[in-house]
Amino acid sequence: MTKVILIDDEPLAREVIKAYLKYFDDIEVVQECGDGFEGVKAIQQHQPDLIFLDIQMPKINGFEMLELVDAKPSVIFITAYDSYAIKAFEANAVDYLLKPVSEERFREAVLKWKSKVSPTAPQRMESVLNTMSATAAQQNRIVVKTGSKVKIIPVHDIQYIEADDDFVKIHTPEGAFLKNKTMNFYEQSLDPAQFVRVHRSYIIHINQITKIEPYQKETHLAILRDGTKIAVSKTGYVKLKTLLGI
Amino acid sequence: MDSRLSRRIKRASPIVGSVVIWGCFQTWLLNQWFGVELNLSAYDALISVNWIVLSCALLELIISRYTPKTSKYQFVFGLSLVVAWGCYWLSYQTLEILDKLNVDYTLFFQRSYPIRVGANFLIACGWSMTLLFRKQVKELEESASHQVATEALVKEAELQKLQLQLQPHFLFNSLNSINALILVQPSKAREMVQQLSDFLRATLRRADEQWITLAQEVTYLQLYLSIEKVRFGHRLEVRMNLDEQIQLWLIPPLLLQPLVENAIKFGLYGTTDKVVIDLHTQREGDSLSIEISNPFDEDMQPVEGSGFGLSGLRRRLYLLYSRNDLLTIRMEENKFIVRLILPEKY
Repeated sequence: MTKVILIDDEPLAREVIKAYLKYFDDIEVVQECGDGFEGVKAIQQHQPDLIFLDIQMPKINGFEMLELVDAKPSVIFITAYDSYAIKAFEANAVDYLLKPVSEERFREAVLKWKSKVSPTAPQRMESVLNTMSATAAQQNRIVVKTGSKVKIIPVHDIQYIEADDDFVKIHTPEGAFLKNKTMNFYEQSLDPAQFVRVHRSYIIHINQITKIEPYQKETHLAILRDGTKIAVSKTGYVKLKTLLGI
Repeated sequence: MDSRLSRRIKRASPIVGSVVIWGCFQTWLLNQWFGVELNLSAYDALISVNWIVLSCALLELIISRYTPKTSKYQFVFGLSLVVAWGCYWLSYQTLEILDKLNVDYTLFFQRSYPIRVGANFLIACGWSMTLLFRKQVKELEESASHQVATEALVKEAELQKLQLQLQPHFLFNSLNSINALILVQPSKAREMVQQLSDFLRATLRRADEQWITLAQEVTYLQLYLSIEKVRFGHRLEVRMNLDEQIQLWLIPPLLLQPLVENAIKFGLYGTTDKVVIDLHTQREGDSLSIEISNPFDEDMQPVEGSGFGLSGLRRRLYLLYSRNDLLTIRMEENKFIVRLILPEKY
């Protein structure tokens, strides 16, 4: 039996999918979720083979939800018209359905998924997520998971971001949070007027800086409001100087 | 046609009058002052007046067709100088051709050269200055009226565009709900098709209207809410508290609905709990006050700062009332409250 989870905040939208899925004997809907938080939990609990995912949902959107899931299942996105998202899907051949969803189109999508063992190559999904969550970061928030809880970090709360192996560590007054993204991603998606990559391993929020001191030859130390000292490379120092106008 | 002709006569009569007076004056001057015999004085005066009138006509032709953008006064000055000298020379030639010049009179004519050219110059100069001034006034009036017309057009187009911002998301999601209802509750589906049609029809009708009553807008709002209830009935509750006294006040159409739509959107997507929207209208002196509140979760970022998706509405209010202070937003105990003040329609 194929396990499926439906994630959409409108009960009627889930009804349509359920009704369409009756056509397939071998698919079982293990859970329905009304928002992304439930979605994350349900996916961890049931390890579904396929999820149907709405994009516009309460508090965190479909893309942000997917970012929080470690073992990502196959996804068929369902959305009302949004040209930007659709461009991201089409560019990466990730399947999506437009509301109102037609039964033919729906069957086609499911059959396409069935015919391939792994429908959407993971890196393609990653690429869609990068495009879409970059817009979320521009909308001033980053969603992270701490234990079983989901935390939404407003961008202005970020003190600095530190590289940590394959992850980045986002430092806030409430502590540090790990996120499965790259330094380059944040360097590009965060507002360049507020965040500077001062070092291979550091991006700092410029309003956190209280002092900049010379350190070893050609390098500097930035001292943040809470006393943290951060290494500033030669090129990082040049960037800082131009941004601060000194 | 007749009236145009009479207007032309009216306009031309002072000019004709002054030409006749100038001719008579010149004749009298030559005859009485310089002792030239009357016959010759009249000839001389007639010829020089004739040339100066023709020159003035030429000046009008030139100035109406062309004036340089810069240094137009120098242009007019130079032109008048040429005309003044030309008239003198032409008058002399004409008198000679008509064989009216004897030796004495030739000498007299040549001696009066500075006076004749000076007088001609003054006339030409005065005339072209008048023309220039008239032309400038006309241009100014034209550009002013053109600007007013353009501004009105732009304003109207902008208002229409702001008014008719129907959310495509809303339409597609509603169609999706109808699609679902057809499967699970066909009678409810028919009902929703009806509601959606009524709503769309009202939206299109509203776009043509300038002012509607508050009661009309509330009816329209209820149509909209009935659709949203089908989609989000499990989470959404709207409470209305309306002041009965002001139901017949006139307000711009499609003002309340976008506000409520916005509150619902931010309520539904800003929290995961039940969403209660409060709508409260009341009279405040000479104004109508409308307050709409929606719940808001504190750990959510206000999307796009304080803009809150209301910039279009703000712009519309500015275009309608020329005021920027009619829409205010405040936060109170996890609630976002949008307050709209509408001055009485004058």
